Amino acid sequence: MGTAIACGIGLVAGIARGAVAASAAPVGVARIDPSTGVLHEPGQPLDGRALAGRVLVCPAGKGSSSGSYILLNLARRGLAPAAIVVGRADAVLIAGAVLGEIPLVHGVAAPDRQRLVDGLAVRVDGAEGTVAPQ
Amino acid sequence: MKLSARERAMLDGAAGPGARLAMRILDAVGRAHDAPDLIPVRSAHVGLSLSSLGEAGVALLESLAAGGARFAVPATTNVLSVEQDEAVAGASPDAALQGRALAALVRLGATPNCSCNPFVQGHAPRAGEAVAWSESASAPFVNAVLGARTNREGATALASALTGLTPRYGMHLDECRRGAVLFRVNAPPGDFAGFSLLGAAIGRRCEGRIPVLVGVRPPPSRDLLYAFCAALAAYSSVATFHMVGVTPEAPTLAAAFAGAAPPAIDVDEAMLRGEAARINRADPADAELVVLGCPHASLDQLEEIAALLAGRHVAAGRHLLVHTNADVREAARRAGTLDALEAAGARVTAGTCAYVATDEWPRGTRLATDSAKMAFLMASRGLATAVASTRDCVRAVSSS
Repeated sequence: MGTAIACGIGLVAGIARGAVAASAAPVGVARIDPSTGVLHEPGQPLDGRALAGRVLVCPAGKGSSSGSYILLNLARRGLAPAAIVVGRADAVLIAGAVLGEIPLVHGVAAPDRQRLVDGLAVRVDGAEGTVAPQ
Repeated sequence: MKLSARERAMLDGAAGPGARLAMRILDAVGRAHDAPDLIPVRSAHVGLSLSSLGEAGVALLESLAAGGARFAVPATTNVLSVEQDEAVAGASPDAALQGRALAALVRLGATPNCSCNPFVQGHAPRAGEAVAWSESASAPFVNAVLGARTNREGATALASALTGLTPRYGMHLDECRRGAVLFRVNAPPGDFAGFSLLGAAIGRRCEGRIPVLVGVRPPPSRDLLYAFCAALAAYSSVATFHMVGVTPEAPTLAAAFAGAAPPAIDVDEAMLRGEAARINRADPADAELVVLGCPHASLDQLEEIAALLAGRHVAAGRHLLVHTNADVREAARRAGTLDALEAAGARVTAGTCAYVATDEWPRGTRLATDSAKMAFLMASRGLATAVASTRDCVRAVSSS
């Protein structure tokens, strides 16, 4: 296990491991299909990607408040992201991560997020607010 | 964020698993927003549509109720994915699931008013009160029109209902409620559709900054303000606005900005027509389906629609939906308005709407509405939407 390459504020505790799914644009979690875990958000870099088991890395959440319950439904079906790492977490993302027990790290600055390249295997500590290579 | 001993104990589970889960949400939201502490709320407005909750959300509400959790403050309920009486009767699998969510919320202590427009049912926060209201359209109305205070809430409203608390951030701070961008309204928006288009036009142009409007004369009715609020919230992320001389925190331009105003952006007839042109994907006159009552119609609006339908009938193969809540529908029944609407072929629903309904209209359906919010939402479902005046909507699907 490596040392942390990205740090922020741990908002939802838990340890998660997975490959990074990275986006330079905010993600509307309400646009994730709750029956497949695939994001359907035209124009979003992660459009069409299955986010189940991935460590979702993006600047922020956005969009409908139903996103919280989408994350809960995904988690109950085992289709949720393994963890979420963001620059700025809004209340929709936070409530969804708490309900779905998805480790959430907030306040991760852009230079740190840029080290979390798509596909990189990482370990997220949602209590400490750290992300380390696996 | 500083927690009191009692709040810390709730976070540790002393007040039960429901309060613990709610405190985990509020604590994390507060830390993310650098809130100094939690403050009491006087009420909550909680979302429960099946289309939003999904099966897991329904199971969560049921487990909270079964676990003994009870709401700490009065709570009202938002729209359902089926009509309220169908949810209570549980006639279909979706209706039964929606009915379970509603029953769980009632067990937790909520009032089953089932509306996105609880204001016309008499549920309205008082000026200065802190509350936690979900339903995006309600936030600008609560903040700007009523002078109470709420952020745009989602599942957080449930957490606030369970604890009676919310983090002190955003709309709860004076400095976050001030205007940041000025619009000079040179053309009277006129009717419901006009105020809805005004909300869309300003929502699109304010780019997340709190808009201040000058020149809106005479002061709009509550129905018109609600049309404006719903569209503003649908087309932007803002939670409030100011209308100088109309809304309570903007007696003057200087009060709205707490200082000097920036240069104004002019709003004229061409901008509102352009907004309609940008939204419209079909000629409203060709509509197969008309949806009115977004947000849920007041009794005045039902009477206006009944008057527009006088001597007319909805044409074969066309549909006229009018959305409201059970209280207004019952008042309309007593007044004879409901009979008039139904005799003319309109369908008046209670507690739901075309967008949150699990029963969806086919993609490509030509829909006309007097609400820019409904047009925005249904366009995202692939319907060919158009915004027109209430009168033109009614005429599009009825004949004399």
